[in-house]
Amino acid sequence: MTFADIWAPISTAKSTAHEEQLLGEFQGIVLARSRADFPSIKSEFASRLAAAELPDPERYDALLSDALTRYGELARDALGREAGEPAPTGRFTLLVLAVVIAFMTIPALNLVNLSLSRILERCSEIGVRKAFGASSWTLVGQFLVENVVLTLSGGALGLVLSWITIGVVNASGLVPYAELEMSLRVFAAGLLLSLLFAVISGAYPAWRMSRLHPVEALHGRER
Amino acid sequence: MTRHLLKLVWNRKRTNTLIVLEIFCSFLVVFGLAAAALHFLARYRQPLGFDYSSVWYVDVARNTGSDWGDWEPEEAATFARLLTALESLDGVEAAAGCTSAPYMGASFIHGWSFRGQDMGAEVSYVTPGFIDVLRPELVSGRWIDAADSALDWTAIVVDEALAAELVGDEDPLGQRVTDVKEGEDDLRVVGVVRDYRRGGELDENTPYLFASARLDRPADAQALRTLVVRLAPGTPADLEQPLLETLAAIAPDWSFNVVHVEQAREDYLRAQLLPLASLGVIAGFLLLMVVLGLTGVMWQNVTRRTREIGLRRAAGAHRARIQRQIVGEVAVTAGLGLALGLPLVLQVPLIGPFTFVPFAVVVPATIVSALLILLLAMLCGLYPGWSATRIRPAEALHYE
Repeated sequence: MTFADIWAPISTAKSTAHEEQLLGEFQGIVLARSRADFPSIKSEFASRLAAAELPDPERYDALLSDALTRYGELARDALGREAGEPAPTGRFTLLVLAVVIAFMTIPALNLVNLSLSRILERCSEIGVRKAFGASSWTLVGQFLVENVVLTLSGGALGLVLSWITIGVVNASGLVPYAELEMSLRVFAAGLLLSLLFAVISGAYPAWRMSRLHPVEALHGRER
Repeated sequence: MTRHLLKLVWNRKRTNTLIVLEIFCSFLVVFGLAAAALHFLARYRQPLGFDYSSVWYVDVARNTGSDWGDWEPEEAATFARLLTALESLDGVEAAAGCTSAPYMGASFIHGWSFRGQDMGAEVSYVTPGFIDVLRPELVSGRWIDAADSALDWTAIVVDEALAAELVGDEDPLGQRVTDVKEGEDDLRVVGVVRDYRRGGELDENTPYLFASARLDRPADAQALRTLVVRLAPGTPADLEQPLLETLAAIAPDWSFNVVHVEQAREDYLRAQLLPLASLGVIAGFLLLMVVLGLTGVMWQNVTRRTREIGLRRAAGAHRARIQRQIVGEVAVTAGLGLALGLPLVLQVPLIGPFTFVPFAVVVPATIVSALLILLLAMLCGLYPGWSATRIRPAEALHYE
């Protein structure tokens, strides 16, 4: 973790033990020129480490350490791997994805249910439009556009809510040293994702709608 | 009644399948959170094995040598002087040296050999005063004392978890343990303390061992990396400054870093619980959404069945029965979703990555989450049910 109340030059430490010691409080941080350099940094670190001399070979077999990205460290800690084992970033990503999908299925199904009952509520309206010759595709288009408009207004509400949430989290000190800010990029990604959800979850109800029989629908009944 | 409701739910299976699926997913998410929360709660309620209040620890960084290099005799003497100076400081009740203090991020796990079997256990080399600082509770035998330095073997105190791993039900006192690497080492158990969970309340209970640190033996002394201090009740935090000055006066070229254990504990708990808490908040919003959505669906459902309900009213059904029917229908639908989830969830302790979750956690988590979901679902039926009771039979029969 790289946060602190005060940053002090290492030369102000009275003890110079860190120059010799292998165990200690310090973490090295490397700024790579680009992401593409990560593998070569890692392999150079590993080869230097392998060449490092063990202080007491009688007592100790090996010295293990890793050059990891922050994400790699997170994955390793979360899955309880030891130093020296490859960071299980792939598995960790899968795990996070599984949790996210489990969480997102609920709003998606909820949206499908709501859309369905919205359509059924408007059965007679659809019946009238069908009876006057509106094609299924027109109706489906109309329905999807309605869904998108609803999603966008939900997104606007979400923008306000997330702005408030960020203020609350920052003020609460729940996350130490957190100074969260509104990120337009993250918000845009969220909005895009919910638009995708709106269209996907609108598809099944729209299909159901397109199959309504005009005569039945006019009576407010579903076949 | 239930069979009749099941029939009603079955008659609208297309709409209800989706609701059942939604309930099923909500149940899985609530169960996952409940299981994680109960798992942590079970650990949290286990005794900690030490008393962290009014305790500080001080990281000690010597100036010379590597971690593995033996201590110079004068370094060991300096450490002993630091201890004596701390003990005589105003406001300090007790002080001791040890390898690692509670809630410290690092752990020192060592390989031990017992009756030809190798095992790993976390170790802290301690000076005798340790029991007065962190107050581990002695179960049998005795604690490490100053006279142990004169022995030609090393006195160790194990916690209950390690005692059970070593000898099971036998008496652990007097048993001989050796170092995996240096087989001739002679460590003998002189006492047993209650499970000592250095990592903190939410960590797994792992075996722990205290070994008597002899300042005249460089190999022991080098394991003393930390000083722990118990403050007298009511001592203000201002003590930190004179304490650091006292230490610096004795060892001017060593570095010291004071950590308040109570603060370290708070940071630890926050870091451990933050992911769970944020998932909990998200899940709370999801459930709110499910409740709103389900209420909407049920309401619409009632409107569409105005004629049916009107007919029931006309035939003499009481309002309370209509309300019960609507709430009952939601409950049955939710019950179907739960029935899908239950067999899956109860297998959790048997499925690969989750075998560490015991049935003792899964069963209550299942009950709690199922009841919560059922309760919320019935809540969703309340308002639509009430609006159904408002339907007038005469108007309803003409409703188109």
